[in-house]
Amino acid sequence: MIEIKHLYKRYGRFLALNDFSLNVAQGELFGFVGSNGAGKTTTMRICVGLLKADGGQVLIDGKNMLRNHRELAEKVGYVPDYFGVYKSLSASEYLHFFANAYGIYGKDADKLSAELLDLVNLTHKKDSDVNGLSRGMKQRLCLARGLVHNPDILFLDEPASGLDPKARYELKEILKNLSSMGKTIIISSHILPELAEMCTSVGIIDKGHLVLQGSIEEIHRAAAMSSPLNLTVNENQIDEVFAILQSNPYVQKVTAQGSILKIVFTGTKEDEGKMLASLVSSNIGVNSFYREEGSLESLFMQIVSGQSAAPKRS
Amino acid sequence: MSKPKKNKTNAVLYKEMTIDMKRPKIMIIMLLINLFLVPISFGFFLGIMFSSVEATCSYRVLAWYLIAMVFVESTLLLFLTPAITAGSISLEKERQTLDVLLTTRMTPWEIIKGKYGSDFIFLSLMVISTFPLLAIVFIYGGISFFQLLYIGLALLVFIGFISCFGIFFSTLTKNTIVSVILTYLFIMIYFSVTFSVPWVIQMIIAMINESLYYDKNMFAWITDPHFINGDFLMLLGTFNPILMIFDVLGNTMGYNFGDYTSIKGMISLCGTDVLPHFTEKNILMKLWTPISMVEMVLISLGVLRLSAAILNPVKGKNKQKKKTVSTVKQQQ
Repeated sequence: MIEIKHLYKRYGRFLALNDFSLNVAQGELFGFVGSNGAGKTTTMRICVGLLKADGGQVLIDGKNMLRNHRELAEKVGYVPDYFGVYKSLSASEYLHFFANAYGIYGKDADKLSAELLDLVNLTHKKDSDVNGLSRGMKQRLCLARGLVHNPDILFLDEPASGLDPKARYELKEILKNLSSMGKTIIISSHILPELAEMCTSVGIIDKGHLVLQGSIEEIHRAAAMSSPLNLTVNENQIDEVFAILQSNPYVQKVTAQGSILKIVFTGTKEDEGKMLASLVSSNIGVNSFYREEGSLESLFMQIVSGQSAAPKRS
Repeated sequence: MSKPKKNKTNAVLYKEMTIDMKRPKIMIIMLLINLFLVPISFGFFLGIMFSSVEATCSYRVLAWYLIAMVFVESTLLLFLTPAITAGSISLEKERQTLDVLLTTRMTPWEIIKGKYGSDFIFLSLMVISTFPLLAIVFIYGGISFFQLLYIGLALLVFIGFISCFGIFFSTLTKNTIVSVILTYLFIMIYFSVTFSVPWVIQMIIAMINESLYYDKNMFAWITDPHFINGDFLMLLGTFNPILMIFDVLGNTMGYNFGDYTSIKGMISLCGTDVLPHFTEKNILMKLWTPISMVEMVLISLGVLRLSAAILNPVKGKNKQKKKTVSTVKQQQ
């Protein structure tokens, strides 16, 4: 449904997107993760036609976004990382105005506005000034605005940023609800665990390049594999163990803390077993051998700090 | 969610007209403008009446009232219009609503049309609300209702022309204050240049003509009307909205060529000696206001189109910038 092919974007001397490619299938709730300045907002702005890429293209349902902007604008909804509200309007007037911007007027706009306010649980605030709404409510209103034209695809740029836990939970529930309606949702954040809770697949962007993409199960697996192996051996055999580990192609880094060795290992479970067998067959006294419990946060940190042992794009 | 029937009404214009225009501040602005003009109006009226040496007040005397009032109103509009229009787009940028609008079905041209339309309607209402003050001239007659409407039309072209520059600078900058300052600056320069350049050039020609009096044959080409076309110089004057209003008033009052209080008289004063082909029958002199109006409408349309092009976030066609991409790849 969404194909992003070899995007390049430069701001002066800063390369924001560097050969960025991504595919998102229909109906997916796709999490787009990256640290600040990684290129998430730039990608989204190019996808919704607010920015022109220096190279590459964005295809939505096989059509070029730039060449068919007006037609595709009907299919795409965008909620930026700021509210963009008219302070003098009430919540209902605000949605009315955006309904008008999509050519929906009169009773149709009234009905739509009421439906959307109900969807985001803001019916009780329909006559309140937008300016008087809480941050969470404003965010929900902006989400409703993005849905005014009933788009098939929704781009949400860090929608949970600055929200309290209750507002985050409410937003998450609304997104799950929208996803169940069959909408394709691309949601960006710099917090991987937050997205992992609701997304069906995730992509990690770093320095304008997609470094990891996969289903949420694959990401969890990658997270589990990303934590180091802990090996405890007899202290007098440390040098011998180092020699064996250095000859293993999957061992990236070994750090010793007394008799405990922390090994950054990129191989599979089978490779882990083979390494253990080679240690045992070399008469090394292995006291313990286990992998630390991996977290999505540690996986993300490893990727963005350049220590990535994670599998490349699937 | 159902997909309702689509309507082509301009959403920005619709919002400004149905919601923003109903706000009390709009009525307060209108009231303040009229409260400002009323004492001036009565001041002029009474001043003209008392200073009249004639036993009875002729329409010609009261015509001065109309001229004074139209110029006060034009000056007021000259200052108000940039202040109102120069924030139209920049305010949307400051509120961060422009990006959201640009992702809707609305094109940049539609957004510009909506903004310009609402500003123009507001300013037009302001002009219309002051019409009763201008209509005081009807007390003694001599000026028809249609002549007053013609003055109104000139004022509308005047505000429409200035408004488009407000919108243009508003599109160009992200800050409303900068936009307002740039609009005032541009308007000042534009008005000064279009007003003074024709006269300045003519004065230079006159000076050269004078100094070369004894050797005219040698430098005859300089003052040859076919070489330096007087029509062309005067045409620059038709781009000035103040001169247009001046001419409209002159036509309304019935001033003649040679009457130095009219634009035609001003031209005859400094033009006919140097550029002898300038006569009362000159087509430019006859159709000064219509030419001026057409020029201003066309300029306004052009400037608005340019503003829409600037507003377009994805300007130009989607050409693959191979050079840029290859440079990027080389730097990797």
